[in-house]
Amino acid sequence: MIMRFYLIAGVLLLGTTAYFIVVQQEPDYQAAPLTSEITKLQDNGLLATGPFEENDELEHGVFEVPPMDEMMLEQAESSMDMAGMDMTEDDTMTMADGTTMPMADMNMAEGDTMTMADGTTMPMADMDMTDDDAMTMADGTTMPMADMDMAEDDAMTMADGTTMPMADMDMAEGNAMTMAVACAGERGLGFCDDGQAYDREVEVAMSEWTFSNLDVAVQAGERIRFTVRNDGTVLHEFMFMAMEQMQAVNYRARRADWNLLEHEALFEQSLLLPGESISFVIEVQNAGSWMFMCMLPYHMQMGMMGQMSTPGAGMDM
Amino acid sequence: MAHLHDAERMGETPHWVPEDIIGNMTLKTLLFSHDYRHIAIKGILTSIMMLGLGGLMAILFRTELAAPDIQFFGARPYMQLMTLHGMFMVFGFVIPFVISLNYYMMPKVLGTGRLLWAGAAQWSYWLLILAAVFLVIARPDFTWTFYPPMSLRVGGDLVFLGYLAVVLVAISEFLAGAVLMRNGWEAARRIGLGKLPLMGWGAISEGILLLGSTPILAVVGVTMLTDWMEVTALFDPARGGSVVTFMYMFWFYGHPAVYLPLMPAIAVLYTLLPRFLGRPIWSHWSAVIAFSMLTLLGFVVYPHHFQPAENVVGPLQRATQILTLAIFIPSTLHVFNWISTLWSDRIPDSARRAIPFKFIVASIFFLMLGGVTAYVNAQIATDSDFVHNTYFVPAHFHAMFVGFMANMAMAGAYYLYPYFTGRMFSQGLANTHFWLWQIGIFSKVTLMYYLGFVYFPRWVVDYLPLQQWAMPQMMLTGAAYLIGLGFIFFVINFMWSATRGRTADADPWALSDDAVTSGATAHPAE
Repeated sequence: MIMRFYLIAGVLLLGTTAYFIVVQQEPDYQAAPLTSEITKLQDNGLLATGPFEENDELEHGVFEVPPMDEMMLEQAESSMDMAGMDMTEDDTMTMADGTTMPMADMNMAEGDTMTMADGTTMPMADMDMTDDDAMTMADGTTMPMADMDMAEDDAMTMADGTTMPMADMDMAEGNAMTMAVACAGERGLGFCDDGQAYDREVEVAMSEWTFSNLDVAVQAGERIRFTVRNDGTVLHEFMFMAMEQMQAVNYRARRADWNLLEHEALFEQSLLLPGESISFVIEVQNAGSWMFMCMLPYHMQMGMMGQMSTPGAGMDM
Repeated sequence: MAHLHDAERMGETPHWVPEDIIGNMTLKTLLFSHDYRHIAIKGILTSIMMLGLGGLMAILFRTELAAPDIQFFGARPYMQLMTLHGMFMVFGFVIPFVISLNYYMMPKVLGTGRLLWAGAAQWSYWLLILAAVFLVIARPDFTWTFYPPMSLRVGGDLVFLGYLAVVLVAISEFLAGAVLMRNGWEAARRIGLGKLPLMGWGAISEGILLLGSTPILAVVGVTMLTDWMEVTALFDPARGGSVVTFMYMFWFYGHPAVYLPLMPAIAVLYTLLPRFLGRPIWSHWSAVIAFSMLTLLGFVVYPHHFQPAENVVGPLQRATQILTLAIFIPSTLHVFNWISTLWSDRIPDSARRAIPFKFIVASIFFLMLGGVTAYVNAQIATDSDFVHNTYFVPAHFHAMFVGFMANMAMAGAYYLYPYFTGRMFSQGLANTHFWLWQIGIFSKVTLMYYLGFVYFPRWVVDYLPLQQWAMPQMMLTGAAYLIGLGFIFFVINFMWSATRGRTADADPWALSDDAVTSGATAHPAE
């Protein structure tokens, strides 16, 4: 009787426990802290409020690349395999307008000429942009650089000889044509603070573990107001990196003691709390592709990485 | 001289007249009786139930782990199953099982005639039941070590029941320790330490371990509860607490906790081995020394559970490693004592036939298997470089917990079976159970060691489809099924034989004529 009691009790216990754990499982995987909890901790002074600045003094030695690693990194960066961008001789490079350009002719040494798509040549030595000099255009005309005086009430001599009065270029607000300040940057991507002129807006929301737009299409020369918002439930960061840096990031990610070269980033917003957002203006200075990602440990590996590219330059995502 | 000394102790073997105690038990005696046999029987039956429960959880997550990728359930159910598997197997199955065996055997072996402080044993049982119920409701998913801050954050609304369960387990084990200590001490007072049977030494060692370590666990449980309620902030680092404090406090209980099932299991082995062989243990005093050393070392080696942490450095690190390696000395004393006892003369045919004896020999084998490979994770350099947080660590403690302690629990259960049912179990079913278990446990432990060496991490529900991972995982699941099948044979045997088995002889484990008794009488007291 006692044996049967234990057998029945045991079978019931087995069944109910298995049912509640495996079958009747609530869908959410992890109770993440709510935004209100974060705000409460911030109000009590227990949690710092953003935006967070980098502190070289505190981070000394943490993100630095060990000297022994430098060589390996350079090697990894130089051996990058740009799929499709075959640079071997006798090959051609497809330009944005559809014409092809023989790569062998692309000899950029000084004193040499660069063969353009229409067959004309442009002497490279002449491309001297110093003042009082003139720039030889492809059609043979020259444009005096000194004349490019932008002072008001002056006129700008155009390549065809006509002049354009600068006074007409009204820079007042509300006007369509705002004279944009050049954005500082490297590797073809410039960054400005928010409030600068822009052509269009792009909004990207972060969540676990993706971006709302993983393949942002841009045109060369465009200025875009970028807004990044953390729609997730945990801390994220946002950064841009040049495509050729990714090989080195890949190399670092495979090491046991990796940090991901985040301080090599073209742009970095180190921490965004849930609900926070940041806006800035980017200037696409030339054709190319760039990666953006969250580099908190394993966030990138789990999917928080996207690309921004001009037509034809991106990878298949 | 030593043999003569031991021969006097031979009268104290656990023997009763076989009778159907279980069949005559009513619900009233089950719930309230303070008879040590009733308390021990319900402890054993409940532990078998817990073994089924923990085993079912293992079968479920092993089914999920059989192949790469997610097939049946994801990370959260996996972590819950694994946490409850660990908690049920350790707190619900091995510790109560071997302590219940001690409850049953001590009055006869130590000559006290009854279990002193049986009320405390009763409370210990019911508090553990309550803790198990709380755990099933709370469904924690942060492994049995419940490290803050994770367990404070991700546990959900019902996690406080889990902390209450921890406190209840601490109180329950404290009470069990008090019972063992009281009975061992009473026997020592009556017989004198010089003649105290090894089960008495085991009870005193186990009592010291339980009484010394469980209060800290209760403090940890209460503090986790108050930290969770945001009353205190001792462990929560977000509010100024320290996880390091938690680690030291928790593992001060946590290392003795792995000896809690070990000591009673060793005591049962020391009691049953002479009974089956008909001759005394080879060396009584080396066993006493080994018990004492294990007890002392059990309290000081706990930092090896978190030794790759940056706070275990310098002299502490070196001391931890040396003390951890020193555990080999008492363990080896025990094992060589058993081997010498087995080897010193002929093993009688009655022992070769006896199922409990087979389980004892298998236990000794697995204690050696888990022990000799423990050199790798006992040393900090090899541990943190090669096997830390891989399957090697579970392989080590499954060799010990399943291979030694669970096998010893089964030896005790089969040994006591005729005494509390009045009938013999089916030899064929018991043999099937034995071989399914030994093949299953050996395959499981060996495959886990292998997976540890190819760096398969612990606590993962999904893994890359690497050939060196996927194939052993599939085989590991097969080994788990073998063990589960063996358990089913065991339960069927246990249920069926209780009413339909052959009636047991007056001495179910009588020695055969070929027994060489070294001049000592192997006949029981009654």
